[in-house]
Amino acid sequence: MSASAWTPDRLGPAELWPPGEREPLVSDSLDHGEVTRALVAPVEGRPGKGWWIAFVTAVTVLVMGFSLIGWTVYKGIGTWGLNRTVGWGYDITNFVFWVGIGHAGTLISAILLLLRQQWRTSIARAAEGMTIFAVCCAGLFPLIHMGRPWLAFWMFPYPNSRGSLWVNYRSPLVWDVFAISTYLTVSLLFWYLGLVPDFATLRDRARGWRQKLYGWLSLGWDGSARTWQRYEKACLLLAGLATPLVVSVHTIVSFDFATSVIPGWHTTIFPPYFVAGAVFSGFAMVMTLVLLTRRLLHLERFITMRHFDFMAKVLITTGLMVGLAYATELFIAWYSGSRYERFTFWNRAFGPYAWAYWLMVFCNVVVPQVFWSARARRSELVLFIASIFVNIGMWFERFNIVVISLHRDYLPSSWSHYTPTLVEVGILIGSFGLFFTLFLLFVRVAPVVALHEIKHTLALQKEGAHGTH
Amino acid sequence: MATPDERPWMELDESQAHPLAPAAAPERAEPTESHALALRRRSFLTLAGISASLAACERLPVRHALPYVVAPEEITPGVATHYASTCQACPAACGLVATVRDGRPVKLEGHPEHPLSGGGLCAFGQGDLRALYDAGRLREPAIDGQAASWEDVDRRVAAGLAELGGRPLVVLSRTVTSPTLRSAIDGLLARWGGRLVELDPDAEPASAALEAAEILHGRPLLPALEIGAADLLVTFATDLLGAGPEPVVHTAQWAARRRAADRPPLRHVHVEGSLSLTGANADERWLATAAERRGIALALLRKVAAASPGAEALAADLPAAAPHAARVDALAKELLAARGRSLVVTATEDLAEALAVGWINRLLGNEGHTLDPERPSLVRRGLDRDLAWLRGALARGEVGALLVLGLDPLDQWPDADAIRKALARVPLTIAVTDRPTATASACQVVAAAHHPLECWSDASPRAGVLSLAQPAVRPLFATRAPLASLLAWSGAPLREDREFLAERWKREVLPAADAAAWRTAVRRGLAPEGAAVAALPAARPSDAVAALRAAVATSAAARPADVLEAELIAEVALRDGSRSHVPWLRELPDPLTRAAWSACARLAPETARSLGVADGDIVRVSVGARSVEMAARVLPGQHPRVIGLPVGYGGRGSGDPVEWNATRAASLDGSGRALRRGLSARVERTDRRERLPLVQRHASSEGRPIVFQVAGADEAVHGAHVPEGRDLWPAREPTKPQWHMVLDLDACTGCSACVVACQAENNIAVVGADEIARNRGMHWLRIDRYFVGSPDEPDVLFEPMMCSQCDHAPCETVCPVAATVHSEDGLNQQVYNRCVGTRYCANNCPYKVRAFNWFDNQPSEPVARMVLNPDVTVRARGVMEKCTFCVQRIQAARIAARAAGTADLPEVQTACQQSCPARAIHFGDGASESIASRRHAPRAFQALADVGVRPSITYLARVRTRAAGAPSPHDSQGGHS
Repeated sequence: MSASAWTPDRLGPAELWPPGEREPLVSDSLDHGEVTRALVAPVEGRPGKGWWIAFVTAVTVLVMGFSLIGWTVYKGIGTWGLNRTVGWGYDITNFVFWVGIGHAGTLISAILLLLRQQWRTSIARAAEGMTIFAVCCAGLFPLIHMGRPWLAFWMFPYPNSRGSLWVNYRSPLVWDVFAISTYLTVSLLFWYLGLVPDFATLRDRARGWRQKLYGWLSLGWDGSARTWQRYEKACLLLAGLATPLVVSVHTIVSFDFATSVIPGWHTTIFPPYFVAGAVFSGFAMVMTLVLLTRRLLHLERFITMRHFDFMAKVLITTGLMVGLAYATELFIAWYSGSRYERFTFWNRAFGPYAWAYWLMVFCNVVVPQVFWSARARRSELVLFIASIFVNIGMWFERFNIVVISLHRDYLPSSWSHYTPTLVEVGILIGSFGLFFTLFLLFVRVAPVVALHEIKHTLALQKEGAHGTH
Repeated sequence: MATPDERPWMELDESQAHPLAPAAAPERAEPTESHALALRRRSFLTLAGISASLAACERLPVRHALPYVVAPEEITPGVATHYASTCQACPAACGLVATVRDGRPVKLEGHPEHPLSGGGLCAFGQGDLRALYDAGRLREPAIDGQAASWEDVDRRVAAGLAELGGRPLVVLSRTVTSPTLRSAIDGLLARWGGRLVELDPDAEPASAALEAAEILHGRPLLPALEIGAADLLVTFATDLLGAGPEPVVHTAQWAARRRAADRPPLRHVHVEGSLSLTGANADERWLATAAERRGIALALLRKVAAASPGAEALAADLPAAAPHAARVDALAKELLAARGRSLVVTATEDLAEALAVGWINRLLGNEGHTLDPERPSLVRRGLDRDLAWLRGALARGEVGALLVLGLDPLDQWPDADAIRKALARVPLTIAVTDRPTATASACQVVAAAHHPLECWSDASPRAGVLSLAQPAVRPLFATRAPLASLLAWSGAPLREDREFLAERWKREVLPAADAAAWRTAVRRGLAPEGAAVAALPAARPSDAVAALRAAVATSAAARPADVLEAELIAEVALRDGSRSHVPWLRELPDPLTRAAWSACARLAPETARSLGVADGDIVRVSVGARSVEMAARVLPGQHPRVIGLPVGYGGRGSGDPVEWNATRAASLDGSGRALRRGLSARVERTDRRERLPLVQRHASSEGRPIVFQVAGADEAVHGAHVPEGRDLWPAREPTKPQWHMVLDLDACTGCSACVVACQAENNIAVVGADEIARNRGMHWLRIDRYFVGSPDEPDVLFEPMMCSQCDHAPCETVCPVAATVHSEDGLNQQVYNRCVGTRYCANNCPYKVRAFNWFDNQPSEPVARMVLNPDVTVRARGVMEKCTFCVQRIQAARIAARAAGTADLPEVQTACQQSCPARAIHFGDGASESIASRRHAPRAFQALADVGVRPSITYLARVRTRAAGAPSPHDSQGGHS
């Protein structure tokens, strides 16, 4: 790695680059061999101290979380802080939060691929992995939030011997089952397809059982022009298929709320609002994750500040969209003339959970404004702190929708309060344990940056530099 | 299941051929498993071989559930039998029908033919069923704390009684409403020499009113009230409709009178310090301390007397000044205008006030119209002077033997320590009780008593009314009927309670000519019309004018203005606390404070502010040298200087954090009378808090179209009707019937009988104080309480809330597994075994009437499980549940109709409807005359009609009749939290 004279410090803000010349996405000094060596190192080498610390921590948290899930299943949902009025709390908040995070991967790999945004290459693999792990975490919550989780398979329409029992197709929860499982399937396929050429590279470099494993995983990749051509086509097709899913999944999740009768849930703005929020939270999580991975695996040459610059711009844009949605909600609540609607939004802003509402507004609307500054967009510290804030803010957005709408709905006599128990908090933390455990295992099994795409980007970059531009 | 009118009630005639299952000790009640094995030859041989080898092993104890070998003719397994009986939970002795399934009573309902109570039964009476199956019941008699046989007990008592040496045997009991029990007590006392002392441990005092009645009418018996004949009802601090002496009877009269369309509306004015159910239901409510109430009563009498020819002299001696002077003037005019059609009632410890009220009734000519001194009420006979005598005799060591019948004076008297010491000096102390009590632990002999549902007895709550009580179950434990114990100790020739009762009835009650009269009486649970009734003591009138003068002269001690006044009150659930161990009653939220399980001191908002106290802060209320500590509950409508302390909590073994019954805060006056009202109290905040188990934390309707009150029965509700919009739902061909319920909020008093009825009928689990505090109560039916108007003097509105079986049920669309679906007859069905517990349905319910099983909540003790209704599924953990409109009763009616080959459904009564003393609940086909006319009445409205879910429940708005010139009750919007 010392072979390169390149250092991150040489990359300043974009405006420091001479006019007519574009800042490179990845370090120019890299050659293909270096790219391969640098990116497969974490997979082929022994894990460093940093990885072990992170992994042991994540697994510990995971075990704690799953023990608490076991406790919940053993004792009953009563171990949570829910009550007769507030039937959903952390469970569904966490579900929507993780589904939202699961959004960025497909957005980056599918939509940005279709839009030919080359900067996606460095972060797409990590984002796709994050998507899959986030969807796993998300899927956990609808399962364990059930009173009788051992009957969860009843949510699927399968031929059964219970008379004519079938699922209720009018229920948005059933739509969720389809939406999430479709999304998970397509994301997995897309992710795996992208990994095939890199698995082939790993196969070619490996010996022994690893060679066998990667040989099996790379599905007989031969690197011929024909294979490449078909591969590119398949990617494009899958991207086309995945693109509507980016919009559909969170739209359908938003239907859980939008099709209900509860003021604060029953809102037509929810589908676009949820999709914008999902992109927002997904990018924030990608940012957090990539900032950490980059440091941990020394990928500064591949994931450059220019990538973060792009991501910060996405964040500020979607942040503004989310802010617009908040303002629209308030306006429509007033404009609707419905006393329930008006009260619900008054209660969000000034009721007992006002702190959660204003925390959300601060994290999601105020904090991203820092990215108007180019310096902030290229400061790792600012980026990291801001992305954490957005993660927190987006969790609270879901908390506000789920809990604040429920705790004071139509009948004042049944108004109540919700305070989570340690079990619920523990399960939320445990889901992060699951997420990071999976992610840390992933970086040891596959290159976290797509080798072939970086090489492609390098080639394009060089073409551009020597071209007529 | 048969409804009482179509199926004759069975008689438990011959105890040898008792038709009930031998459900004795819990281990014997445990069912063995019966597997209907379809054996093939090979498996039979395998099993035979295993059995043969096992037969050689040591024998295990056999656990039997014995089937009927020779089944009694009248029992069909799985078909309910109904026994007419009498409720003995309190002296009011309402009529009862016990539903018995396979030998165990599973439900108590009111007796529709009872001349006083009608078909209603209060929460307290229904809770008595659960007390039968209480695991903490006494199971055998004991001597000096050691289990003993009944022979030993009888020997010990006989020996003790033989050594009385001229000192009296004192029988201490609640008011004895059973003439047969009274005659047995008389027999015992005649044999050994002694005295019966009756004591009513209620929060509501009756002694002064009894003394006033003695002066005015010649007998210490309260004149019976005929609210139905009154146009104007004025009540002073008596909780007629709540925890008063005969709540079911009075509620039924009151509600029937309010419904009477052919008469002017009943106006009800209530004067009190601590908000009661009666105050909450009155048209007008005046706030007054105990001393102010006396002043108001005397001032009213002065005005009435001044306007009554021949009574002007009486007026001259009475004080003129009174609080609420302008209102008193107006009310006196109203009373005078309603001569013979008004009724004034008081519950007081002040003889002057009681006499004044009696005089007002007499001067207005109400006697014989709205109250009946000739056929008086017999449910209160406890005179403080008898109690004072007993106290003195105990203190002086003059009592030879004390027999405590059911009461727990150690818990219910203010000076427990003194009593305990005095008890230790009495040579023979006997407690007859079905529960371990503080008194029982201080007595030498504990004669474990049957539960009333295991006994033969009778009751006469009013002169001329006599009903019979028969057992509904074989005794569960080695206990004995109190009547049988008394007979055994008095050496009477007849020792069986049933024989003694039958013999006495045949001799004194039943017409001698009719041989079948006894059987008929047992079947009906009532004495035949025109039967002979026990003679009353002879009337000995005295000089009522002089007595009033003397009583007025003893003026109540003036109290400094900064001292608060404590008032002991009773709640509808626990009353005096004698059934405070019954889980159904503990879980029943008080209709006013909406707190379950926990005693809370009620403070006016103003008082709470000045003390710096909020809901749940523990306050110490000191009366003289004694004090109680309980959590505060801020209650709008409370007099700012009056603190209400509910009695009945903190009894021994009740598991209450506060081990103190508030009765002990009562103060003793010079003659040893226990005073419960107008006690000078100091209230201090402690630094402790309790998380109050409240089922409702917000008291205002926030101006939403949820609950309404109007000024007249014909007045329409404003703001509840929603213009018909376009319906996006596919139209359904309406089938018949479409079940519909109408709840008349003008009749509903909030008494909560329906809540317990629903709990008993539908096997609703009890979850305990902690879970209630977490808002996880399981009740399918709750009574929401809203305050309207100013927090100082609000109107109170009750609204029973249960599943509305919406036509456009939002719960049905969202359930992913179709566990909640709509039936053809308009019911929203919950399929328990399909439910996976996503709770989406509950979230989407605008009425929040769905209850989720957060844990496994059903009791595990076999005795406690005997109360479960076999017609209703017991719900598992993780499953949603809710009101079904008693679908099991609808199905039973359908099956009966099909069996009978009729097309029309017989009338179906839901459990809540059946128990309602006020007849506020109407149920049936929405198109039927009785329902449709009410649905389209001017007062009709649907809660949250604007949400568009089309509920199958219609409410009729509360009518509040104000005096002319008073603000109208229209502004039911607003309120405060």
